[in-house]
Amino acid sequence: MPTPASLESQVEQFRATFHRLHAELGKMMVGQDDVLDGVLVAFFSGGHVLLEGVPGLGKTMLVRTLADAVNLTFSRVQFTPDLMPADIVGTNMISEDEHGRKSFQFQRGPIFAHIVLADEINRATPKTQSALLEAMQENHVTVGGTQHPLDAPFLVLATQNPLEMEGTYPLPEAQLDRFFFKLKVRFPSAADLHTILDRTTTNERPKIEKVLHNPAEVTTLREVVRQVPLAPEIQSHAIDLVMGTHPDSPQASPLAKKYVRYGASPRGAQALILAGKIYALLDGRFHVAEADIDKAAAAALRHRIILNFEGEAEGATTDDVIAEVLAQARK
Amino acid sequence: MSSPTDPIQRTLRGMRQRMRARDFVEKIARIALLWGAALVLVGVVNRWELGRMPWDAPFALWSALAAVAVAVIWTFARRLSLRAVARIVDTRGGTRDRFLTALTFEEKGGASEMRALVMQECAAFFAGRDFRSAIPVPMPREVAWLLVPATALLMLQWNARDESALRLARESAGQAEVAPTVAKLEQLAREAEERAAETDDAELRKLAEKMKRSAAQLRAEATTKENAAKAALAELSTLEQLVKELQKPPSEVSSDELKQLAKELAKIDATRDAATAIEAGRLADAAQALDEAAKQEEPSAENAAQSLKQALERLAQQRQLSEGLQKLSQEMGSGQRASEALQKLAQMLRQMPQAKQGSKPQPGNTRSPQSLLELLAALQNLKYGGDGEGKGQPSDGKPGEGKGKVAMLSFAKPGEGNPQSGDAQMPTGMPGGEHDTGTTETPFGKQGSADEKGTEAALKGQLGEGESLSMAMPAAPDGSKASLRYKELYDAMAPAAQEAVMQEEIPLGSRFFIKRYFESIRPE
Repeated sequence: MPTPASLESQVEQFRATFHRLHAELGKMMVGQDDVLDGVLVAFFSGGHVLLEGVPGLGKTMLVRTLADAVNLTFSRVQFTPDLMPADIVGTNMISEDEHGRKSFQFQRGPIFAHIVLADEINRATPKTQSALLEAMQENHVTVGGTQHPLDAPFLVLATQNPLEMEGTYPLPEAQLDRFFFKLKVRFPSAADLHTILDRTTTNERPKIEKVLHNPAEVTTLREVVRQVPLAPEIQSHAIDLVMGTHPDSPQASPLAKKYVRYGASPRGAQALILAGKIYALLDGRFHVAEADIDKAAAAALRHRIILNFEGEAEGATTDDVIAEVLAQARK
Repeated sequence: MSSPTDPIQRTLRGMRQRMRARDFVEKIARIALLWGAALVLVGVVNRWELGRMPWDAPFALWSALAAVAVAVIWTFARRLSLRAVARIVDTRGGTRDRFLTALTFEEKGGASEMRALVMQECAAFFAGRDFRSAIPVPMPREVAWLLVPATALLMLQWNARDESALRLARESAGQAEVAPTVAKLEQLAREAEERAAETDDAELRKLAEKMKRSAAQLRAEATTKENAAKAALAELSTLEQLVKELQKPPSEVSSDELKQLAKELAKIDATRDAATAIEAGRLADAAQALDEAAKQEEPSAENAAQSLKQALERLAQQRQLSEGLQKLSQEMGSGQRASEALQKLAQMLRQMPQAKQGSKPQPGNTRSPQSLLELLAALQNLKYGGDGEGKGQPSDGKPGEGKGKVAMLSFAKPGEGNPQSGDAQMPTGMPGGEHDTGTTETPFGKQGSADEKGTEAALKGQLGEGESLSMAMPAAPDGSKASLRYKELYDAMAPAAQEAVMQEEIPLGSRFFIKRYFESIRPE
């Protein structure tokens, strides 16, 4: 059992690692601090991230840079309508050994990496999308009746384009719920564009330092995060936020009652707490505060709330619902 | 040994005290505002509905104490736990829930290493910080609004004081207005009392008492100058009416009634002498005998009264009772004492003309019409403003000689040096004299005396036993439609009407009008 001193040093190490990683990612992705924070929070929480943004904002670069910085394996899957599940998880192929005997041998797909980029995930068919379900939740895949565990840590970063909706297959609710955070990658400001251009149109490429060197370090830091305590009232606050998104709940906000079909799942509350813990540590505290929960609310809940037809017709967004729930909880 | 949470709990308790203080200040301000509004309402009701001062110091003091007590109870009724205080301080102090977390982990115990770190971090955060600014005790906004009820109350009080002073002035004016009338009424009452004592006249005594009461009433009702005039007029009119009632001659008792009365009185031992005297026509002696019967022992007088009552009832059944006897009968029925009833009957007999002619005046019945007339004149002088100063006839009996004493001063025994009234029948200042205002009993001018135009007598009809015609009209017709058509009704009633017209002796000059009337009501 760690002593307070060693624990404190671990916490300090966590903070330092986080900030260094943030700095390394920032070298390649300019002006997206919130996205970087969100990706790192999800990374240290053991969750997956859905990045939503138009093409060309550096999403792929972000994931690649993260893999480089934490010294983990990386694979990229470009999702297309003709992509099959086997193309992702792998398949059994007939192979012939030196004695000429033929047998089925599992050929691992691109999902067998620490960090997987599922680019434009909404372009694949639901069948292919659902191939990620088992991997994301259980950290293993089953092919031909055989389970194949994935290497830990395992992180899926999926991207989707919010504009080109033609020929796309919106992610099913079950799969959306598997994502820890949904982060919106916004267009950078003019100042940030200057920096981006300076860095990408010259011969001087930013060099990415390796912050972590092996997966075990990631696991250790994740354990530190989970030790952060919180008071029951703070946990109640997280529950209130989740319940506030349910239209049938007594705590439901007026907007949720009007526009929401299904509220956030318990995984949403888990995401709130885990993210809150990381935010608390980053803030120099050892306990979670309501503000930490609130900070994580939008990213953790926005993809877990399903609007009804009226809400979509009125142009309401899940962010509006979450903002109202937060305002209601603060009263 | 103090734990790291001791300062936290101390801080939270201090914060709780501040919150209570702030609550108390807020609540006392609100209650004060409500209290002020209530005082204004009470003041308005007191001022304009009840006519009192809006508020007084004891009431204001007690209600203020009650308001403070309510504020104290209200404040301490809401007892905040330390956790609730911690949440509030965390929210307002920007402590990122450190108070709440530290308090929670202290209460839970079994601290893990991470919790120990939490407590240390919290203690380090709290050290040297002052969180009093998180719970300020500001001056409530309501305090400024207290000026409104305070100003309203002061204005009410000011207005009430002004009004009170004005009312006192009006009352003084009213009292000054009625003072002469009251003084004169009291003087009249004294003189009437003296006269009543001399003549042993109960009616006059009652009149004197009534005048005294009227004087007191007048003094009480004279709240303003206008009220004074009205009250004076009302009281004097009442007194005038009373005197006029006394002036009225007693109702005539017929000889038949006297005979019946004598017959009934003869049946009783105590009143047998009175019966004999009545039969002999000596009514004064009969009255004296009845007085003596009234002075007898209670059983005898009671028996006599019972017999008298039965006699009067029998007379009433025969519808042969005069007004005076009817009144006496009613009074006996309403529980009058036997002796008083006998005395009243005696008095009634004395007032009858036969008694006055045939006997010398009795000590108890020396109230002369002249004295009543003088009293009436004095009252009318007061009522119509006849204070003897040029209005009407002066009291010294010499018309047109300017100022003189009022006629009321003449209400005294002759020969005592008081001036006599000029004309008792038409007193000074009385309307209907020189300038008739239509308020006299005779609108055609001066009333003639009985001596000049003969004796006035009331002709009384006898209600006989024969047939009589009566028509019952229970009520005026309502707005409903007639159940019978007018033509049918006319046709049914026309023969009877024609026959009735034929049977009557109609003057020749009127026949044309009657015929035209019947033609006009004939249906088309």
